[in-house]
Amino acid sequence: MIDEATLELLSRHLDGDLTPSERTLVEARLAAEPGLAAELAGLERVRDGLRALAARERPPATLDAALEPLRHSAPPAPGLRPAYRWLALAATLLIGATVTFRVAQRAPTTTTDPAPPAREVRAARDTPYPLRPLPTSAVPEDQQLLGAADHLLASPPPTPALPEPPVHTALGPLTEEERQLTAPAESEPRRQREEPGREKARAQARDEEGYGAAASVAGETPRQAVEIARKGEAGLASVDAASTRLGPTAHAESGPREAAPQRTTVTLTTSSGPVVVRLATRVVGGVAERPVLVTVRGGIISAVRAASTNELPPLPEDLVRELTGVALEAVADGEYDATLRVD
Amino acid sequence: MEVTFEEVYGSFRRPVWRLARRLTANDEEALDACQEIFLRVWRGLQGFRGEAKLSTWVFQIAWNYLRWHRRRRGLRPVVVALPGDSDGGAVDCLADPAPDPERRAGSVELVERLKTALAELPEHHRAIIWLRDGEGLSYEEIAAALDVPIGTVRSRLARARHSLKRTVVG
Repeated sequence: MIDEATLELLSRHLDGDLTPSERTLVEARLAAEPGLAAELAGLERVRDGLRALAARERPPATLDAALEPLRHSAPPAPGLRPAYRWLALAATLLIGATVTFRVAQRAPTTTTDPAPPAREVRAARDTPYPLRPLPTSAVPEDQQLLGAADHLLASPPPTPALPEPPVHTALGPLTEEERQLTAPAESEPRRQREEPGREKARAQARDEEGYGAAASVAGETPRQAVEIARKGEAGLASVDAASTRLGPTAHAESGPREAAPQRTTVTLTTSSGPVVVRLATRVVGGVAERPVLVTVRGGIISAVRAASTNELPPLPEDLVRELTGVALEAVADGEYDATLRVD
Repeated sequence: MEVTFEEVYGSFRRPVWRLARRLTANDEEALDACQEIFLRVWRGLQGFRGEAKLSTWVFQIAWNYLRWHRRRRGLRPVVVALPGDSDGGAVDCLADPAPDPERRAGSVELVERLKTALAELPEHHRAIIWLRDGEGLSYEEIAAALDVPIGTVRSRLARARHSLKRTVVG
C-alpha cells in the first residue's frame, strides 16, 4: 500500500515537477522498492494511453459546419466587465429610483392633460424647473415644440396687438392650476390679495423706466410679447410670451426683494400655424415694446439683439439668454425683425 | 493581443472537443457543448487582453460551461465502449509507435478501457488528468483554468492517475 504523499511524489516525478532533492529521494526509493517502481510504470502506461486517446479523437465535421458563420464574422466589441456590469446596473436602478421619487414629489396633484405629447423638443438649455408634457391635441404634430418645461403652462388670451389666433387654442385644455395662474380674472385678484399695492408699484416702476406705454396692453396678466416678422414679410411670425411674474416692478414695492422665478410660455405663430415653446425665464429687467432682431439658425434662436435703429437701453440680458437657444423647428433659418413687448 | 477567432478555433477545436467529450455523455452533447463554448469564446475574444495564456482562457470557458451544463442536466456521463467505436466517424490512427500488431491491439484495448475508467472518475479528477495527460497543460495552467490551487491539482492528479492505473493496468 502506497501512501498518498508517495503517490503524489511519483506523479510529480512523472511530470518532472520534483525539486532536485525530491528527485534524488524518489529515485533512491524506486531503486530500493520494486512495488514503487511498478506503480510508476503503471502510471506511465496510463499517461501514454491517455495521450493515445487524445491523438485519436477529432471533432466531427458537423462542428466546423455549425461554427462556420462565427468563423467569418467579427467578434462583438467587448462589453463591461462583470463587476462593472453590476455596478452599472446598481447605478441605473439608483438613478431610476431617484428620478421616480423626485418626479412623484413634484408632479401636480391635478391634471387634465388628455394625452401625452406625440413629440417633444426641449429648449436647448438647462432649466431648474420640472418637465411636464405639453398638451398637443390642438397643435399639429410637426409644429409642437417643448421648451424647458414647467407646470405653469400659461395660455394668455389674444391681445389686440397680436394678429394671430388665440394662443391657448394651440395649447390644449389647461389644468386647474394653470387656469388659476394664467387667467386674469382669477389669478390677479389673488395676487393682489397676497401682495397689496404691488400693481401700483409696478406702474410706478414702469413709468420710472420709461416704459409706460406697456401699460396699455398689459391688461391684468403680466406678460411679455415678442412679435417676430421675417424681414420684408410683415406678420409672418410672432412670439407671445406670457409670464406669471410681475417683472421689473417687483423691485419697486418694498425695498430689495428677490425676483420670483419667471415662467414663460412662448408661442410662435408662423404662417403655417402656432408653435408652442415652453421655457423658464427669469426676467429681471423689463422692456416695453421695442424692435429687436431675432436670428434663427438650425431651428434654434441663435441671437436676440436690439435692432440697429433702437436707441433704448440694452435688452435685459436674462431675457436674451432665455430666448437664445430655444429650439424652433417650425421656423426657417434666417433673421427676423421682431417686436419685443413686456407688460 | 490580437488574435482572430479563426486562429483560436483552429488551435483549440480538437482540445475543446476532447474535453467536452470527456465531460459529456455522448458525441451529440459534446457537439452542442462545443458550439456553446466557441460561441462564448467568439463573444469574449475582443475582451481577451492577454492577461492569461490563451489556452488557459479557452479551457476556463470550456470548463465553466461544461460544469454548468452537467449541473443543469444532472447527467453523469456513461461511456459505452462499443466495438469499432469511432467517436463520430472521424478517427485518427492510434498514435502508437509500436509496430507489433499484438502490442498495437493491446494498446487499443488499453485506450478503450481508459475511456471507460475515465468516465467513472469524479469530474474534477477527470478534468485534471485529462488536461495534464491528454492536453499537456502545466500544473499552473490547469490551476488557472479550473480555478483551484496548484496543490489541489497535484494531489488530485496523483489520485486520478493511481485510480486509473489500478482500474486499467491492475
